[in-house]
Amino acid sequence: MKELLISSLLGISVLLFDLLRLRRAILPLVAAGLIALVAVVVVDWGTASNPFGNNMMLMDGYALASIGILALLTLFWFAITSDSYPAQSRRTDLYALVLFSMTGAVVLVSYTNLVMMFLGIEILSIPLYVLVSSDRQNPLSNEAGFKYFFLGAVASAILLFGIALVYGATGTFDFTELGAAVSASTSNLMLKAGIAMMLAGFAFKVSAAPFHFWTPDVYQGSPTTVTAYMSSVVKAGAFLALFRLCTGPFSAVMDGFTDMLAFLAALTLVVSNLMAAVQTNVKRMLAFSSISHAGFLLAGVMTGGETGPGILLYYSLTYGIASITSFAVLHVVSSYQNGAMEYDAFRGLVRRNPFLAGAMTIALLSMAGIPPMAGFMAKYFIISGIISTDMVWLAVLMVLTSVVGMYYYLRVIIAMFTPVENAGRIMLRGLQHYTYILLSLLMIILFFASGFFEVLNF
Amino acid sequence: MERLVTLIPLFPLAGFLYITFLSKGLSRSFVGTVGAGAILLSFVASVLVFSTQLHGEPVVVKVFDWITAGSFEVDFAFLVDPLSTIYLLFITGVAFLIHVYSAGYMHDDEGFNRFFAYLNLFVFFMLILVLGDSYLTMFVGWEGVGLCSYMLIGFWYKDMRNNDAAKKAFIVNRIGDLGFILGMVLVFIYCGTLSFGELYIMDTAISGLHGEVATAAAILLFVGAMGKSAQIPLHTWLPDAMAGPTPVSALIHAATMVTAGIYMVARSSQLFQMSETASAVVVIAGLLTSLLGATIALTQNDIKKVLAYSTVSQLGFMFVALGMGAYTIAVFHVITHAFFKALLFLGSGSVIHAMGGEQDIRRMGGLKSHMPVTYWTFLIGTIAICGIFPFAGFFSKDQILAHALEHNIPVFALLMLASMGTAFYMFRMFYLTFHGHFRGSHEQEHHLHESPRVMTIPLVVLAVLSTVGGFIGFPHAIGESIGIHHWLDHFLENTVVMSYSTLSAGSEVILAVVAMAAAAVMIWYAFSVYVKKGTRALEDDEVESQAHRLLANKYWFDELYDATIRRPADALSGWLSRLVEPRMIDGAVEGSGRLTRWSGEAVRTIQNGSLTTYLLAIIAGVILMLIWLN
Repeated sequence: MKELLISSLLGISVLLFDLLRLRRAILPLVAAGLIALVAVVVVDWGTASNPFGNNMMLMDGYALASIGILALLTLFWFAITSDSYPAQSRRTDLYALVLFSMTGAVVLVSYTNLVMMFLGIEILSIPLYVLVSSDRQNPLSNEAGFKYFFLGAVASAILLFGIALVYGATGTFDFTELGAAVSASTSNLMLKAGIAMMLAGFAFKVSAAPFHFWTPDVYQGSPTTVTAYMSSVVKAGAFLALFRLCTGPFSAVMDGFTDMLAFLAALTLVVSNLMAAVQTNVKRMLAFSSISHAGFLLAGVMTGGETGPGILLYYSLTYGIASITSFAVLHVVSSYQNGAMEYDAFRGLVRRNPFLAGAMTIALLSMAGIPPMAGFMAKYFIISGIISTDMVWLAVLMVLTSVVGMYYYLRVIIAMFTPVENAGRIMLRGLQHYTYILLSLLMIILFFASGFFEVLNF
Repeated sequence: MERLVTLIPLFPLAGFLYITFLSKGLSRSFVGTVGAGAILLSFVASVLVFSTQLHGEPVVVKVFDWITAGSFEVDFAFLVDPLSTIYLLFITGVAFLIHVYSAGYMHDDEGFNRFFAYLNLFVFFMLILVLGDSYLTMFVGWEGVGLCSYMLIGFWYKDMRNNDAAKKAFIVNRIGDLGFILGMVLVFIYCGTLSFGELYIMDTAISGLHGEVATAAAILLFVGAMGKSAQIPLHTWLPDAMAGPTPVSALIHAATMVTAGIYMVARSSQLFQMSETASAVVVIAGLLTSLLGATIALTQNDIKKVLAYSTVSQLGFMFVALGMGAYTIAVFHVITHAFFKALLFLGSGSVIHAMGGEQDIRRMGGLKSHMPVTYWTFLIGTIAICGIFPFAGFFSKDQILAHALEHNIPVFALLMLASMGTAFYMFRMFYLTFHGHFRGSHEQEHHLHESPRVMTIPLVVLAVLSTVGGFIGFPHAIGESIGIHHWLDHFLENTVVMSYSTLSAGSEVILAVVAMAAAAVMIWYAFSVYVKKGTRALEDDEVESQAHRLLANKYWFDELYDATIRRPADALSGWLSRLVEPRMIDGAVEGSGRLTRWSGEAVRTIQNGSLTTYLLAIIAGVILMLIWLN
């Protein structure tokens, strides 16, 4: 309850501060709020919690850990993009929208009722439609916003249709009752069709193929900082919600969907990596890379088991950090090059600002899955989980597509270390500078701390 | 105690990190103090840990979970038992003295900080090697010391020959490492663990190995030891390794790293005890190596090369002892050898320092009067290595000979031969260096001086150790009759397999007298040739006798390897790089790249930005998923 209150009140306070002309205090307020959120998670950790709101939500261990990770990622996002908007009132609106969207994610990791789940998805998504099209001067941004809204509405409809079918088959929205009803009627076709449609709706939100087509266009059209937020917090929230659903009330029938999910994951991995390899625009490449990580996360949802939640959380955190870092670097670099986002824009970055180049290198290597970056352990956990569920073909495919990934990630790194004449230096403000260092270190520290996540028990 | 053990390797690691990253702009004396101080702290900690082992039980100190993959679990743990603690003691002790010495020796070198950083890193890995509770942990140290050895041999990297020597050491060691790895795998497959505690201390898991598998595992591990401890046929890298700075030769290539092979075999004594074949292989390799080293050393004129071959030969002695089951005696010889060989190397460094970098003993002579401390300490080291009572080398070498006499007369005879060769080449070098007239240039003669205190004090300490160090292992029979027991045997008796000598006190005395007499004859012979007659050593182009040429060219081992391994390998690589690489490998790599891009372009046509297409894909996806249900 406290977690939900803090995150929603935080968004409202931002608007209030703006009204009271306290704009300078907004960033410290957000930071304090998010840190408080993490602190509450730490304090509540391990204490028994009761469902609230008529069994609508439950702050169990999984929810707390997820909220902690979401809050941390949001905090990193605020720290690293703190300088990216000119000081005008628009920024406050965007901050409030981001916080509202995060509140949706908080709901999504702690729901115990399908109605709350749907509400969470919408709270998460609606602010995003605005955020995506927030670069009003840019037609691409407007187009992206419209596309996302339109396709998102369709996906919500499919999801809602799925929920309705599940309700029709079981007569309840509540997790506990739903779980009992599902295990009583595992072969009910209406139930299975409902679950399939809900999975399709989620596949859209997490951008798994063939529901991913919006992702590159929207990621590219949005302001880069918004893209950074979408690919980290939003993606993590959607996956954690899906995992809660699959391992919770639907766990009795999930075996019947394993092949389907494996197929979706495989398709996602192949399509995204092939597409990423042919891009010339780094932002679009990173968008496809984000889809390819959705393939990995989808496989992570399938493996489940005792270590399942820990692995999924670990993957979300490491990928989130790498993704925030890479999009933030891209934002800085392109803003120094009149908005250019081609591979060439990165040439000579190591001379222009070694910290940016270093952070970008670590982030890309982490995404490529090269030790000693955390991304390696994340991929390792998921691949070994897949092998232990006897889907070796999928594991092989994951490794192969990771090799393709190496190609497009390394292209950026090579460009950064290619010398270039007369490159001006890129200056960073203190907070941003330290955030890059912190995130780079985290990507390496998490590699060594991976054992902690593996043994997380809920 | 557990924290203390963990600290032992951490001090040098901290020293390494500090010197590498934070020493910019600091004075040399400060960096030297940090480097040596880190080792001194380790030494103090080692003494404390050692004292707990005097009357304690072996302890396994787990540092952290290292590898957990399925059924394969390895902890990063340290094993504290008598064997590892006694190694700790002499490694940190000798290393400290050599660090102090280096502060003087390397004072004018531009790579001073780098040198101390590497040296600290080396000690760190050496301590990991010795403390590791499993073959795998040991292997980490094993590879780490190999890396440091590589970096320090090629320390003066501007001279290409040094780099070549470094590469040679690294590559030859790779061959040994392969054996080590295969041996480890074999042990793991049959015993299910690599931990020394489970294998040897508890004595349970090792029972999984027997018969031919035990032989294979032991021989493979021994191949690893051969590489690190320079045994035939993998000995060729050690003499070349003298390209590194002299303190490095003293620390790494004489006192500590090259004896890692002996440590490993002694650790695995139960395993080697299971296989007579493997033990025989160890004896033969050791015997051949000791003879080879002793004979080649007879004709070498580079002061460090003589010592290098002497090291090769002494390592051979140690392996003979191991092969005969006298594990404690081998360890004993490792310790005494560490004292006197470090002393000799540091003494040679002092000479080289005085000679302005000259290493050829044909250009020396008469240094006695110029550098008295170096002279007297060097003399002690030389007597010690020749095995004269009561110096350290006498005790350990005498007991190796005693074991040989008991087990195998031919082995004994050949060892005596090698031992006599040792006495001759050592005193040949000694007389050529310190007696007679100075044969170098006037400039060099003018420059001759005793080394500074910081270098001579370690020499004196090592000389004292070389004098009294042997008393930790007083011969059994004699000792019992006069009331001194063999402390080292007693200390190690529960750690490694024991083999007590059954010789009576009388035969021990006779053996000692005979061995010393033989050495004395050779010393007198060297004296008469090089001092009385004043014979000088031949210049390279004056060598005529075929036998001399064979020795001077080190039995043509390098040439043999060049012809049989390097050239065919070169030819094969050339063929691969001309034909296989461009056509098959590049073709496959570039082909798969092209295929990826082509399929990417193909998929791209759907990603056309049109909402209707996207919507169609979503609907198709949902329909597909619904069809899948049936």
